[in-house]
Amino acid sequence: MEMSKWECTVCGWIYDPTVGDPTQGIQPGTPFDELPESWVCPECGAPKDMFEELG
Amino acid sequence: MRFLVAGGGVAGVTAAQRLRTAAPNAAVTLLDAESVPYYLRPGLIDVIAGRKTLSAITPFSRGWFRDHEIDYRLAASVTELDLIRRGVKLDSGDRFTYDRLLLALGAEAACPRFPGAPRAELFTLRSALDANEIVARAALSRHAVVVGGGWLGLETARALQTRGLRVAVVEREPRLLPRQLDDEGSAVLASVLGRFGIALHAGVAGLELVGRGPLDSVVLSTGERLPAELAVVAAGIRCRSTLPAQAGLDVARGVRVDAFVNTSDCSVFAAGDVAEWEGRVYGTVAAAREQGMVAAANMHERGSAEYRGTIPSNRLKVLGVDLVCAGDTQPEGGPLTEHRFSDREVGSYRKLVLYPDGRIAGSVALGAGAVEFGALVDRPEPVGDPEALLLG
Repeated sequence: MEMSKWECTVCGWIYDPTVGDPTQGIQPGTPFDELPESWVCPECGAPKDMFEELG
Repeated sequence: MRFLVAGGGVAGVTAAQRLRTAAPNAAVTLLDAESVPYYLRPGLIDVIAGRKTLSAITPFSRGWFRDHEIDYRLAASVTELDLIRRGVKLDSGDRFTYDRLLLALGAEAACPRFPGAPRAELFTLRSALDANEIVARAALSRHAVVVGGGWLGLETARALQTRGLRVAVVEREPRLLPRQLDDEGSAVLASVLGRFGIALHAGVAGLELVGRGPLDSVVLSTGERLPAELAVVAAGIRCRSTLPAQAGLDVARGVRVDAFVNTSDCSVFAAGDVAEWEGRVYGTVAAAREQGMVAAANMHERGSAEYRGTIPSNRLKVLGVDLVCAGDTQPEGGPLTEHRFSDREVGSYRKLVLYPDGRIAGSVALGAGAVEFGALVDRPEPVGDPEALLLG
């Protein structure tokens, strides 16, 4: 199943689950829903609830 | 245990949140010099462009801090720091004492002196208040000059242009983003920005702000006159390190910290734009957040986390331009090798900087696919064929 990408509504940074987020120890293959609540946008610091799913 | 965090930007807020989680019974106080709750500073560009309100870039309400039992004080500027009594005094006269203190005081916008300045139509951009003032002035202006061709200057220029102003950018160095781009990269970026109507003047040694009464133009040392009812200076940052220095802490450019982000006083830590680690002041959100996390861990349990530096990564947050610079992009000699691809016609530029063993030390990508290309810097394995990667 294709995992969806999510975009930060503040700075436009895109979370791509196939890449993960090495700066916060997020392994490639981690879906957005499984990111910890403490995870934030690596570029502007926005929390998870400020992201929108890309259609 | 009383934890006191002085500074309400990303370093301070991150640390306060981490302290709250790590030490549920401790008192956590967060002192913020600004009068509005914590907002995401990079979002101010969209506020200037008129695309977002301040509330759209404010992630937590004051109620959120109350619910998490963080004593959050706004308009709370620290004016005195007493390392012996372990206390601070605010401009309101209030006093707080601490067992562990985090200095996350941030930085101010640097503003070089220009002939004809200061004046009411000349701004720097650092705070929400600055953004509001620039927006108010922009509404009365048709032309703007942005002084500084770095990240913030270019983003501000595009934001003002989005509002309908005619914008020129003036840079002292011979190229844009002088620390990240070489001449060719700068030339490609200049041609892309030129398509939006943003005029670029690089290699300008000096300028003067001119106008009887309000500002009406900026005159360059070349003699060229740029119409401007509004000017914004984006010339870098200056650490708010005066107060820590007066208190007796070891300060160079910023407050010097060790690998545990501990200052020269064992009860005082520093993180974010005010902190200097191994001679570096990062000035990025990522570094501020990482240092804030390390600070919280060590304030709670001494020696429990080490800071090892942050790979610099910058993305130009400008509508219609994809530019990502990551890692070491300007080695200027030494054992690193550089590989480039450039196409001014389509506005595409890529550069790879490689270690002798082929691992990626840094990259620059402008144009389509820039974000994916920039992410390559995290890849641990060596690059076999750099030319193929540049064209891929």
